[in-house]
Amino acid sequence: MSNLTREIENQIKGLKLKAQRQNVGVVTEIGDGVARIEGLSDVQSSELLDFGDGVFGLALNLEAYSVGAVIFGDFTKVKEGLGVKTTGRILEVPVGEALLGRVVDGLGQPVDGKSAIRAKDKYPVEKIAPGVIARQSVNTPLQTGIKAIDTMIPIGRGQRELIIGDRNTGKTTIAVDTIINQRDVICIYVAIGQKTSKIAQLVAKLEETGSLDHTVVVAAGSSDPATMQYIAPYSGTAMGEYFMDQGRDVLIIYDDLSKHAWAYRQMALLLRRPSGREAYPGDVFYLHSRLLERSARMNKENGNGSLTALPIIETQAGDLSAYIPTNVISITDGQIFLESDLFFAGIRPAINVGLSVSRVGGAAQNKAMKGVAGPLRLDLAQFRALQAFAQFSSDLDPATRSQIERGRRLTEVLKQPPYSPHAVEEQIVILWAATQGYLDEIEVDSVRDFEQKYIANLKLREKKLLGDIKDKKELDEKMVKELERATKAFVNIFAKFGKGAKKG
Amino acid sequence: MKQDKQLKKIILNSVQDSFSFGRLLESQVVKNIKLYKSLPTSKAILALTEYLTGVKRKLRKHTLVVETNCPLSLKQVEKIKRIVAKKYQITKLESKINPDILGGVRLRMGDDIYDESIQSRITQLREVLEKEI
Repeated sequence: MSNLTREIENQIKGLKLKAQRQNVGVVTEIGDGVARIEGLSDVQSSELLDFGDGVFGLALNLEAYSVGAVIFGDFTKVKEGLGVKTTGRILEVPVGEALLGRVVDGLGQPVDGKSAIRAKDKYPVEKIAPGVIARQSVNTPLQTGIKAIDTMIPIGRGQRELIIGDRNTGKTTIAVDTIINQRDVICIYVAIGQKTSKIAQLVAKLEETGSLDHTVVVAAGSSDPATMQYIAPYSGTAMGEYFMDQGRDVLIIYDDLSKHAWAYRQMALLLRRPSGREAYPGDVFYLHSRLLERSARMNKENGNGSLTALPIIETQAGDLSAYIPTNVISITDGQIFLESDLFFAGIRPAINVGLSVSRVGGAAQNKAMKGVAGPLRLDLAQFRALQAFAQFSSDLDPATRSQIERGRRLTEVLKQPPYSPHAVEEQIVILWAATQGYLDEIEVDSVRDFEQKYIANLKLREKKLLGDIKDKKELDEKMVKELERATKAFVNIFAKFGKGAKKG
Repeated sequence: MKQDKQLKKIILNSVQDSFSFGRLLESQVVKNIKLYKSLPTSKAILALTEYLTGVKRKLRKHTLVVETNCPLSLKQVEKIKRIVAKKYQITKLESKINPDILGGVRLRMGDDIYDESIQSRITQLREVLEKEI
């Protein structure tokens, strides 16, 4: 006990308490996390306000005699007539290694029931994006482990690739698969307006796959106030920027920005800001552009780190031309478009390869992957064109039939169950085999079985070859010959002993 | 909407005109109120509310409120006023007894507060200790 008293005495020994000048105001109106305050004549826009009792707010609307502010945390403690102080600070969140493996709220406070977070540093939630001089072009791939994405819609470190689709089309699964596939990349998953049960399931999945150790989950569930949902992606980005400044590569997932826009719309309407299209305020574009612009690939002088963003947008009945989807499509460097029809047809991930695009990722793709992606894209495009035509005609010439058969097998190869990302070299070899026609003799139903056994066989017998593809990142003539030999031998074995060989 | 904005601008200017060296010009206030009353009802309500809020706010800005937990002598009050007048234009002085501040003095001029009270020191101490923990 005496020790404790002495410790406290030591702490306050050198303390100099002085008269503080404070700028104050009085709450005149309060409701749904938004307060109107009279006074605060010196307040600055986006300044942190102290409502007392550990409740803080953010000044957003500065008017002649009053200030409109949003309240973070428990706004039921704020009553009319309550005094409010300015703090002279802007909103900051704790950042650093201490956050890894934790689930935090939009203010960086733990919500996983574990110990308090002892972070040394703090970063401002709102920050101006890095300028042109500090950046460099995207040149390193970020492997998602999903064949359809890594081959045809490659993502580079520092890129912003939108994942867009209706509800229940597997958007979050793609994001989680990508997190699971990362080893040297720090991941930040920002859940905005989602069911708490869904967040809990996701955290459990990450824990199960051992991916939580390099992940921070920023959770602003649907039961959290709109203000917390509004701030969560900015907080997540601040946490990511810390690691980027340390020269690390970071992946951030915003799940999802439609709900973020809803939260902002709610706040803006309560603040009585004029509404525009679909009742969103006029600056809803800037809301997302200033967030996504913070993703960058820094140059060597600025630490060589990167922040890759995978924002998610949920469309209503596949309507891509709605306000928020078009906004975010125009901000990002490409989009992965998921379709309900494909999903229910059993093509999972339900990526519409025709509508999906990656604007900068191609520059980051390795040579070997580029080599297989070219013919794959062409074969699939021809398949899609012929497929529609083939539905009306029963007798097809052999060339057309073989194109369709090839396309069906390629589609089968691109199917992938959730939470099972593939390594780059595995993706390269199976897609190489498919585009070279080695799968043409295999029954479509057996393609997945073939793929599994083929990769297992290569891992067992051709370890060196797989290692070379991984290291050299290209397929030279010698490698191709070896691959041809190994594939031919395996196809023969599979045709003899496997169930999948074509009859007749 | 545009008209409202213009009206608000006019009101802001008339609030400024209602004061001279921090003192309220009553004749000017009466004149302004008469003018705003003559507007159509909906506009008159808006104009009068805005004008009176503005006047009250400006009046508060030039009023020094001294809060203590026991009464101060006239000399002490005058000394405080002299110190504050170096930085603020004070035209009115109010003394308040507030036992909650426990001791010391708290000065208020409009939205600005200078807190030299025991209560403020305890709060500061609590914040420091909470941060350490």
